[in-house]
Amino acid sequence: MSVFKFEARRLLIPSIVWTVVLCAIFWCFSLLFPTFQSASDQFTQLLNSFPEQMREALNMDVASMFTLNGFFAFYSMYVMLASAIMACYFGVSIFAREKIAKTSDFLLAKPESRMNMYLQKLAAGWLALVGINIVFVGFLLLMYHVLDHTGASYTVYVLLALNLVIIQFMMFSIGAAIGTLAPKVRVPSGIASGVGFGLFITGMLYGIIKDDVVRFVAPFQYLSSDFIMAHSRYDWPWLGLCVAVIVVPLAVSMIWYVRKDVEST
Amino acid sequence: MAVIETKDLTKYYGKTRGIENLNLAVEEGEIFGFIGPNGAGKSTTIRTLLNLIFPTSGSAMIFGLDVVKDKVKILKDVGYLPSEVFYYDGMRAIDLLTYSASFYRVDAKPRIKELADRLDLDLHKKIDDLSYGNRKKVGIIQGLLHSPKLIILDEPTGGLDPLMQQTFFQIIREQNQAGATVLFSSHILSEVQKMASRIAIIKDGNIIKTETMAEMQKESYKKVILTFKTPEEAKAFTLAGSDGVEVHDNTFNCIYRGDIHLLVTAIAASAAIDVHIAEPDLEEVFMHYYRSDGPNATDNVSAAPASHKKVAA
Repeated sequence: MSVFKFEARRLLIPSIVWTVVLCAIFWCFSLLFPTFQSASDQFTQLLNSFPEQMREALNMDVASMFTLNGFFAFYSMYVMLASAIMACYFGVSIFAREKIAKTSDFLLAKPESRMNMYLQKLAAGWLALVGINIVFVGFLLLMYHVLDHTGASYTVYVLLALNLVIIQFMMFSIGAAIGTLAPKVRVPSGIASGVGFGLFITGMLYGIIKDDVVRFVAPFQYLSSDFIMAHSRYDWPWLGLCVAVIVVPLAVSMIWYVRKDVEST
Repeated sequence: MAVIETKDLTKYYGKTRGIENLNLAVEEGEIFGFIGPNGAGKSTTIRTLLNLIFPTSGSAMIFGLDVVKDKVKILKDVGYLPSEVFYYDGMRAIDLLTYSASFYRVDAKPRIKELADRLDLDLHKKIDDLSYGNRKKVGIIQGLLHSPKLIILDEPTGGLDPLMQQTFFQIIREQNQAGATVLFSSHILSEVQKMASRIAIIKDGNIIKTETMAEMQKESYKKVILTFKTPEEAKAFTLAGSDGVEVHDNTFNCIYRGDIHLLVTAIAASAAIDVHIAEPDLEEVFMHYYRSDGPNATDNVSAAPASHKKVAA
């Protein structure tokens, strides 16, 4: 459990910081909701003046924007972006920690199997994500009761909230694969931001052209908020793809971690 | 019993040779020197033994166990000091050492303190703030804190001042006297000379010679310095079995390997006015091997190297 404890300790402060940041981002958006709702006529006019493609790209559904769930679906994209960057950062930094610090020889010459080390790192990363999301989702659910939720289904709200969690686990896996497979990693935050913004843009692109091929490379759109609000459930095939995006990069990076020669420092 | 045993151990990095058909046996309780210049394959051998890299072919056993299949069992009893030491940012030396000790499930605190005192290391300083030499001390402690049965040292003394090197060698000797086997890789031959009871010379990924230190130094290798009246006489002098001949003014220098009687006869027949014959240090013997090319160099190093002067004395 040495690696697990070590990684968990290293993630403690970033986890606390990110929990506060995510809750703060959500809270800031929530502050806008009452104003947004009370001035719905003006905002409807304003939003309708935007080109349709722009509204689609920014996930602005004028018909539902003034309900809590519609507003949440809109701004959850930005919360999703922040949480995705965080999760990807965790994945990259945990699995590239030895590459960055050049401590692969130190760690891998210890009497633990590489598989065991990998699983301990994974467990520490998942523990951090679970810890963050217990607080974060708890905060989201609390805000449902604080804000005016007239006409907003609690089930839909919960599904939208859990979508943020699923995205984080996907991005963590992608980060883990990058951290393990990339020959050199210098700045995990740079990689995580690049991946996060890149996938955010593919999500916006899908919002405009609604092409399923584009959707495959837009994980932010796998669990479409439109579908969730229309059916009060996830779109099962796309949920399956989410699971695949969580499992496959981890499986590939695990095999790589176990079998790869450690480069000499 | 061989603590380390490799059979035709080969490692290629793509098409680049690391080591090739390397056969090595390190016996229990010995200090085994592993010498060769950079790129000869020392670190590749060590990293294969530690399962940091996987062999392309052949096998390696430590304590009679396979280094790939039984890595975890083996590494419980192995201490490793790499040539370059790197650690995680923001950790104090004691944190790093405690983390290292946690893998061995032993209470290493007394041992850490004892070694830190001997090496004069402040355990509560951040590793980032330590000099290279002090980081090396952290490396030494983390390699020895669990009192390993096998200690693998890869170019261990870089960054240590001469006094600290002495302390380090003393610690290693004590570990050896307590029963630990030591594999000591270096290209600094005087270090190996001080420590090792037996050495292997590695060249181009192959071991070209394995001998005890005593054999290596006494196997009729002599450092010969002859002084002549004139530079011309010095230049004109030739000696069968000599290598590394250097003539400076009226002085003739070489490493001689062969029948000592022939050497004395050749000197007696020469016009030398002064003679100095001494044991060569390992560096000079080592260079003798390294200057040797061709099939004799690897197949049978006891044969006369190709560069020897073949002139009758």
